[in-house]
Amino acid sequence: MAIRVQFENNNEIGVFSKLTNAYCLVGIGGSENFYSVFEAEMNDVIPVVHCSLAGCRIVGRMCVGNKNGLLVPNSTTDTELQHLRNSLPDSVKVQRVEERLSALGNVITCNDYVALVHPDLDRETEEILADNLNVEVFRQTVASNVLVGSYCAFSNQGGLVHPHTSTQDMDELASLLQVPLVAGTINRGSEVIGAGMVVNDWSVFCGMDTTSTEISVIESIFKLNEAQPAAITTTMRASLIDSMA
Amino acid sequence: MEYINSDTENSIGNILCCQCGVSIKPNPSNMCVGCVRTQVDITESIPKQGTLYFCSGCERYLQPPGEWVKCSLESRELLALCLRKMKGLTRVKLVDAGFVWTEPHSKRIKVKLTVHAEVFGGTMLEQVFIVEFTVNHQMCDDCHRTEAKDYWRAVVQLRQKAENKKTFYYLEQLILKYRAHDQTLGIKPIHEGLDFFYANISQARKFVDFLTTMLPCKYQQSKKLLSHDIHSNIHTYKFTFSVEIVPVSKDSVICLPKKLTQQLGGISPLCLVNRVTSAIHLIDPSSAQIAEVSSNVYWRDPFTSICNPKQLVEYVVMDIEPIKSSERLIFPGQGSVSQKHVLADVWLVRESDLGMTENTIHSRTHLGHILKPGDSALGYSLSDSNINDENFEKLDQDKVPDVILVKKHYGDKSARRRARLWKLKHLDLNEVDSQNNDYNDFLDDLEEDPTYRQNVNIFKDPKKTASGIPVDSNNVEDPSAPQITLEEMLDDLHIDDVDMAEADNAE
Amino acid sequence: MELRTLSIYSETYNELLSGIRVSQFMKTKQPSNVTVNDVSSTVVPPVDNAEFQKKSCSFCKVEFQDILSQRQHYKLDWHRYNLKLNLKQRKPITEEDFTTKADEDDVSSISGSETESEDDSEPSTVVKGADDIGDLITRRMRMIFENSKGNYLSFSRCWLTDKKDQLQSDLELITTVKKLPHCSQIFVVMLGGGHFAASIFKKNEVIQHKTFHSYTVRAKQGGSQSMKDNKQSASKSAGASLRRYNERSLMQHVQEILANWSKDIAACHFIFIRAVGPNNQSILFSGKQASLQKTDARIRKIPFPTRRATFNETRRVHSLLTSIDVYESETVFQNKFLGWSLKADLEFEIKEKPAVKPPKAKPFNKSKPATLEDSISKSVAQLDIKSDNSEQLSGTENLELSSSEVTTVEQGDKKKVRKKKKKKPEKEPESEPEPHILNFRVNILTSCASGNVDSLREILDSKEDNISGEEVVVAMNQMTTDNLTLLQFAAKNSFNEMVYLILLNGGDPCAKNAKSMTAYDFATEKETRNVFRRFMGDYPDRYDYSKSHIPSALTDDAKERQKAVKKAKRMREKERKKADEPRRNEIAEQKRFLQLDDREKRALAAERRIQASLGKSGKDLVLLRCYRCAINITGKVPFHYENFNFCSMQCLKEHRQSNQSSSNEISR
Repeated sequence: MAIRVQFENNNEIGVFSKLTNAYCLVGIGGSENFYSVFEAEMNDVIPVVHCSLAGCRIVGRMCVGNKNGLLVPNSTTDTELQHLRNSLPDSVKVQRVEERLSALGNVITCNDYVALVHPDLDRETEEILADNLNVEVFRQTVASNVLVGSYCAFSNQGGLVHPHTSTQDMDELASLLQVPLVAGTINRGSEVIGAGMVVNDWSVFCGMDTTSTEISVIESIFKLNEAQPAAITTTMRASLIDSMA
Repeated sequence: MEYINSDTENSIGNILCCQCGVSIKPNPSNMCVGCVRTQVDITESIPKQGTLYFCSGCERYLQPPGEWVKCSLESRELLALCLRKMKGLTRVKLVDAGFVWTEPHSKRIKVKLTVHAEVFGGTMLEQVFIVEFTVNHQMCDDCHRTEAKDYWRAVVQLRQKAENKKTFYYLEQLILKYRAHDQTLGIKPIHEGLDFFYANISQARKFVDFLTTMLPCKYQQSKKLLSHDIHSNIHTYKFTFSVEIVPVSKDSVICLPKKLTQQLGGISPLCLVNRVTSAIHLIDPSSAQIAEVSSNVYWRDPFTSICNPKQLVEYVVMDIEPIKSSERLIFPGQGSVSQKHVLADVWLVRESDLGMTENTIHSRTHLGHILKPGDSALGYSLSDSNINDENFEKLDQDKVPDVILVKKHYGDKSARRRARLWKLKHLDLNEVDSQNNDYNDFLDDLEEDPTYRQNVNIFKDPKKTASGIPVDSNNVEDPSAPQITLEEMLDDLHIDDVDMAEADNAE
Repeated sequence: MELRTLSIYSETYNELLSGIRVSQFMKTKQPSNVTVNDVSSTVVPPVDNAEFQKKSCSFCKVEFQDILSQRQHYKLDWHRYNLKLNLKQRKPITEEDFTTKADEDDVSSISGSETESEDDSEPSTVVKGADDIGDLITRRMRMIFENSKGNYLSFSRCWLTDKKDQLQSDLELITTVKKLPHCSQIFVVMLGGGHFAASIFKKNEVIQHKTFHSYTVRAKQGGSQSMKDNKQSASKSAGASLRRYNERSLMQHVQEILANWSKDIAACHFIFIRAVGPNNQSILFSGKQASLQKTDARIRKIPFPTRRATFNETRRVHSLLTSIDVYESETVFQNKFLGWSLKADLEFEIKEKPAVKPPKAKPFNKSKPATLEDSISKSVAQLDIKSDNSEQLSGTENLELSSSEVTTVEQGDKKKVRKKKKKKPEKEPESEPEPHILNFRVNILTSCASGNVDSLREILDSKEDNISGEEVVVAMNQMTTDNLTLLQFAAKNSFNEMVYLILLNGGDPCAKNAKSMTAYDFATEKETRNVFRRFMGDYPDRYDYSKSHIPSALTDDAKERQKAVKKAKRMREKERKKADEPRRNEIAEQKRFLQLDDREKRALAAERRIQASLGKSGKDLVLLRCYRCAINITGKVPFHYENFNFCSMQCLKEHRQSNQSSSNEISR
């Protein structure tokens, strides 16, 4: 089920929130509306945490994480870090990283198994990423954009990438991530997928401007409506199993 | 691991239009063309209706602010006019424009436009739309004037009680040059003058002002009540300005009253009118003393011409002797003396008596600078003529010269006329050209006096200039005959002007 | 003769070329100059597109057998390097190339975010471990050849190639070298800083030359005007517009010259250009019919520093370019070339000293001490100023002090109270007054404040000897609580006697309060004011009364006089009243008369007449009055109308009109 939501009249909700399979971070906002949408949807399953990072509400762009862990930038204050550690389940490792490209959400994107990172990301960060989040890290670009976190979003089920991504790149990415991908838009034609939506394995939140067409694309690729998986996925699964064997 | 050698360009996959879900190539708006079109209207800023003004009298369209242009339906000109009428076209790129056919009597003109504009930072959008113009009637100024031809509120009656019409010819040229007739509804020639009709009094007054600055004249104003509305206190009048021009013109001989001679620096009473501008310029042929009589002064002590131009007699100069300035009579209180003229003693024989008599007539003349023995000159024979003038009668008859030379005579008039390479424009007066001689005299004067013609627009005569040199090569002309240089002539640009009619008086 | 220099146009040139070959010094760096751009020869058949899953990397243009190798590949530095090349729109390199590069280069520089700038440079340009001489050769832009005699010839590299790194094969080089003497016509053009110099040489002769200079460089700031204009808003100064104009005219001029010479230029074999910066370049290469094209293969840059563009400089450039260095042997070459490099550098420095170096070096050397000195002197100056200030400050204080001393002294001498004094004494850091004086003051203050004249008088009378007159004056001028002097206080409260007493004892009547009111102004009652005036009359010399607002002295004489004046006035009034009496009577009479109606008037007149005839003639007897205005018209000839008599026609008329209206009223 994809849900439309707005943060103080702003559609770029991926900026103000971070959603994983184990927790959800929501930026501290002027109104509780944004928070309560997440709360209503997620509260029974995963903790929804109000927080800020380095005094900013743009938590979605500042941090990166999956069910295994959470990386926050070096500028995060101790109290914020403490708050996160207190609020998140013990299984989630919260780690501060010293990285020049401090908007981790923009330069890194990941699901529970794979992460794509900015080509210039520090080696150390890459290692921390692999250790803490338990992912395989690939340096890659999305449609010739280095900000992989901004221009794509993917879960363990599927992924949405920048509309200008070539088919060849998409195929390669798909084989890399082992999830089906589709090029698309969010928020009525916006290309910044990662900033316009948040996704985990069973839910998607997107900006209020998102059209029904976009929603339908999202729901089908992230397999939210329990629809028949696309042929592309099945074949890929098959081939995956082949190659693993 | 194997290398791929193919240099195939990466093909970009299709995405779904974010509005309607149609599969499209990604573009900056990520919408299909149809959806973009529903989202934005690039012709929003362009009004879809307009008004054109059309004068049914002359079938012209108004091109704001004040121009009326003739253009036929579905013509380029009309299209240009329509496009100019459209606002907001600057914000888009106009690609194509054309007319959509409409019934000519429908008073509608439809213009189909194709425009391009950029939307969403990079997507070019093309849109075709139709702008409908309503053709409204509006009478143009020219037609308006034509319609109201008979309707006048003010008339300027210009009169000159003089024998010849030179002043009027001069005035005509002045009016043409300064376009003083622009607001005139009509001009009507009548005996001894012209009537100018105007739609309102201010235009008439303006014209009267023009006259008074150009010529020595006086005017009176009168009005006649046509109707009045006692309730609203509105009165309608017809106004009449009666303008009288002084009854002397260039080359008139006049006899000044004694009082005036004293006022004018002791000038001799018998004077020649040298020039008429806003004042009368007098010259005394016996002393070359000059004086200026303004219209005010004139009307205080009016004087008239004592001789009729028809009385001009041709004389042959037998001998001429310039008078040195030292020999001139100088008295205190004398007015200024002309430096342009040379005073001379001249001995004359009547052209008709040439060879028959040995008796030469002695006279003094101011024309010493242009006369030489053997030249002929025109003058008034005062001794032979019958003069009825009050002032003249008071003069001591002994001091009256026998002859007053007025101007030099340059040979055959018709030859001169043929050699004339220029022409003048005329007001369309529907006038029977009876004063042919007067007009030619006027043209001669123009040729002879550069100061006289400085207020006159002179045009090349295409007929004469085309032939170039006069046809009669044996017709030897007086080389001293004054000519108007080509530089002074203007090319006739307004040959088709409605107000003007070409009058070729030579034929 | 181990090293000689000779022109390529000289006779011996061709002899030297026998058996010429490229020196081995040049060879050392040859391999590294191979372009890396040619994609490796290992060509692979096209991908099988039938399989859906892409086991390939589009960035590195490689295909993999299985997905694992693909995933491995994505973690390679090679992939990353290609990714970056791809972002820069360049072609990827093969793994072999990458490994060679990585061997030469620092591998870590590729992986790690801190080395982006290094990656920017062309992979081919960096040459490590090359021979020193080879390096020097490239740096000096020379080309070294050997001939059969074992001589080493050093050519300016620009003759042989136009690009830095695209060297031809040895054979080509040798043929070009051999052809050199035929390339006789050379065009040298230099442009910079508003200086322009261009010469066309045929062998060693100059066939065309032109130099000029226009003022385009901003004085003292440097840089051309157009550059300045581009950077920030255009300045409007006269100089700026002059330079702008000059820049335009320079461009026009140069292009004209080039256009005029185009025939000669076309015949030139080489064109050497020194035009620094885009501006100068554009002058040469732009224009409507530019005679020089940027792409022209003949164009070379002058490979060494030049001085200001002059005709001499173009000649120098030409001679330097056309000369080659001939070294006897390899050892000589190695010694000389290396030595030359040192020497040349030195020499160059010496030579260029007046031109380039000093302005760079000198200011630096100089600036340090200068700034030091400056700063020191500045700080010293500041110190000076400070000390000055402090002196001034203390000086003014001293001044103030002394002035107050002066006033106090004056006060003592003349016993004259000054305006300033009143405030000053309180401000003064006076020595604490002695207790008895203090006591005295307090006593005076209390007595004044209570308005007790007797006690005040008593205090003054019984004052001790040790209290001087001066002290009394000070005490008298002290302030009450509401900032009034004692005198003002007394005046305000109309303690008349006290006012007089205070004045007598030195209370200053001129002292003013904040609103510049004197004691006199405070006086509310006339009597108090009179006290002031009387005091002024009594002691006209005591104070400077002009500032005390007291109008005039009041003495007893004056009082007498005033009384007399008043009396006289009253007398006059009386007399006037008396004189007026008959007139008033008359007016009253007239009033009475007017109130009568016409019939009564007539009756009165008749009565009067009778009285008159009875002989009761009196001077003031009124026989006849005007019926309208009641003026006495006895003895005059009246205006008659019916039975009425009037003094004038005016009255008659008025009467008639009034009557008429009334009669009209009646008739209606």
